Amino acid sequence: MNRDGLREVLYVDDEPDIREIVQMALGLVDTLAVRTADSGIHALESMRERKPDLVLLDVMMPNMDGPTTLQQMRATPELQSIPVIFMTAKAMPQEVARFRSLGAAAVIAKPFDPMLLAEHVFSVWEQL
Amino acid sequence: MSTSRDELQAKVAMIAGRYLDRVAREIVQLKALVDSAASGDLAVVREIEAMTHRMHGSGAMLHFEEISSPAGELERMSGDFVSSGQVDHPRMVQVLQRLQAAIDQACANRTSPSARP
Repeated sequence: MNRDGLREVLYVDDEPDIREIVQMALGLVDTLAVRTADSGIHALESMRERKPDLVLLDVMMPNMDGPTTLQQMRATPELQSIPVIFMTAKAMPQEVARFRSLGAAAVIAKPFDPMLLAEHVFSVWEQL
Repeated sequence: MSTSRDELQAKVAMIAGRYLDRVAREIVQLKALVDSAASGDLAVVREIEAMTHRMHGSGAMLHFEEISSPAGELERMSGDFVSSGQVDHPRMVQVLQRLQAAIDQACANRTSPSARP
């Protein structure tokens, strides 16, 4: 995969401020479309309507957390191949290892620098 | 580029101001919830956990570490209380007081003429 293949990202987080920051931060790249969802349930609905190239997923969310959302994606044939990056404040090595074992392509630690987020996402994308 | 870096910085500053306004309102609600949690009602403790989770996460992103830190402490404490089924109300009140002081200070810094650039 290369950078050119990344066209649409879905960012999932229950915190509206962070959704807005991520949308603007990824908006620094004019070729990238960013959608957001405020919960795992809404994210799954959004993905079924239109499949994104990449999902950025908050870990701790009410009702359906990030790992459960990923589990649901992997159990859904049309969604199971979409790469997922977890974004979390819980980014200690053993937690990162656990998220990777669940099928996450990478983990981005919160808080992150909005100015560097797009580059970080693309660097993960290029390694997929 | 659909968003410039300057625009992004300006918008993050705007969101930071909005965050302070919101937590200044939410701390009042949080105090009422902590008062109610004295009864040991775990549904109320879950509400406290959810509210402080947002304060914690957004606060860290927006560089309000002094707010994010006690909010995160109250979030973790609430999670522990939900898991154990036991609520240590005096401990919650202590952390709430620190959180209140941090929010008051951040709001005062924002309105203080010396804090303006």
